[in-house]
Amino acid sequence: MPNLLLFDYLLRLGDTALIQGQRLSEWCGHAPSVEEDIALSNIALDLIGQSRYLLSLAGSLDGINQHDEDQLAFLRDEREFKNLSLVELPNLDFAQTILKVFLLSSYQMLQWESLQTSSLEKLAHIAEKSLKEAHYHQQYSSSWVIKLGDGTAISHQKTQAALNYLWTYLSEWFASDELEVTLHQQSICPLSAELKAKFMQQIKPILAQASLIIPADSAFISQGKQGLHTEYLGKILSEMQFLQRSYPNGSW
Amino acid sequence: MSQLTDDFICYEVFVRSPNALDYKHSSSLHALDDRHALMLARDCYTRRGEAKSLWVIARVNLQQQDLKEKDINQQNTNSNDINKEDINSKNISTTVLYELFVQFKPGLDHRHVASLFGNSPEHVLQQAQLLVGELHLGALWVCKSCHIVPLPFEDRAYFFESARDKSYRLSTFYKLPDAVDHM
Repeated sequence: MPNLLLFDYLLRLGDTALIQGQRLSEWCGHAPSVEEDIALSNIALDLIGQSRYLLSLAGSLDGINQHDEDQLAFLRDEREFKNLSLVELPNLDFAQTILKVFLLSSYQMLQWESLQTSSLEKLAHIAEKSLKEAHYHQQYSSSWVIKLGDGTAISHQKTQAALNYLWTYLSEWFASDELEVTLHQQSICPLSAELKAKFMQQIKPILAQASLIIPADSAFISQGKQGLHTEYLGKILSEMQFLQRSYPNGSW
Repeated sequence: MSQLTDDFICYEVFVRSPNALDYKHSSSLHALDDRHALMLARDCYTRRGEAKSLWVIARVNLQQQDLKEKDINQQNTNSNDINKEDINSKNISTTVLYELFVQFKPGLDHRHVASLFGNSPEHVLQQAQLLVGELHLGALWVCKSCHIVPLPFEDRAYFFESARDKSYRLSTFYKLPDAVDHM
């Protein structure tokens, strides 16, 4: 039974990385310059790499029907995905994409930092590796957030609008539920609620430098990590899973 | 974006490969700032683990030898008069350290070969011309040492790590069909 909780928790981490990676790879061939194109795809690959480790670990837990990473990624339905809602939102424009990378990597850095001391040793190893990657994602996106926020009138307006929109989905990030509390008691994971202060401390100076105003916290709490998603997840999954569902076990 | 792209800074990227001792010019890219430039350089030019270290230098900080002047300088190297006088007459307190990059043949990469003290890029280029003599047929570049953007010290250990588990970027990752031989 406890493994079922752990399974769900690993899916939360893994699916968040997977869907964010999938969304970022949509920029491949469309970014403003070829260097950005490569940088965004590289971040996407880092994230998909992280999700592979996490889903493999989830699928190998005792007492869970053994699944491999591919089965978990390509054969689960919408409701079985446990990613944070923010990552499934469409990219809309470059400012929103950059802000998504910035916010998520800042959050993941804290998550990984704390998971390095997880009592689940394999998870601690993944955290150690992923922390380094998240660190670079955050550095890369910080430069852009400052440039866009503090750039032209239009770039500022678009970036502020994106921040206001995305902020609605941030409450979920710091809402600890029963699952988390149980695992926290076994020293497996941190309590999300406790990451909030550090998160704000980390992003405030960058947003201030970008002359962006931090919106008020939203009372609405999205529930992606409980499996309740926005309308956008289904669409991205249908694209992502099409090949595996049409040609089961296809390989080349 | 048009106004924003005007603000982009053009950087030259220099890469030191795992077995090399010197930094070699790799390519150029546009970036927002130094940190961004290092990140893009890593993602674009060291994707297959070809680097052990990395420098970026904003193009405005690199001074290229004027090729017309080069001919004059080369004539001067025979007599050496102007250069000696030039070096001696400058006030030593204003000298700073410069880095010299040499292209040994047109078409080859610029390589970092030496650090020199000088009062101005022109002055250093003259000295450099003396130093490399007629060995080189390409152009010389110099820049102030302080204009080199190196990797932040605390990052060096794992800056290139994320490329390491992406073996699918290497051609050796893929198995060739039997029909293809002589590769």
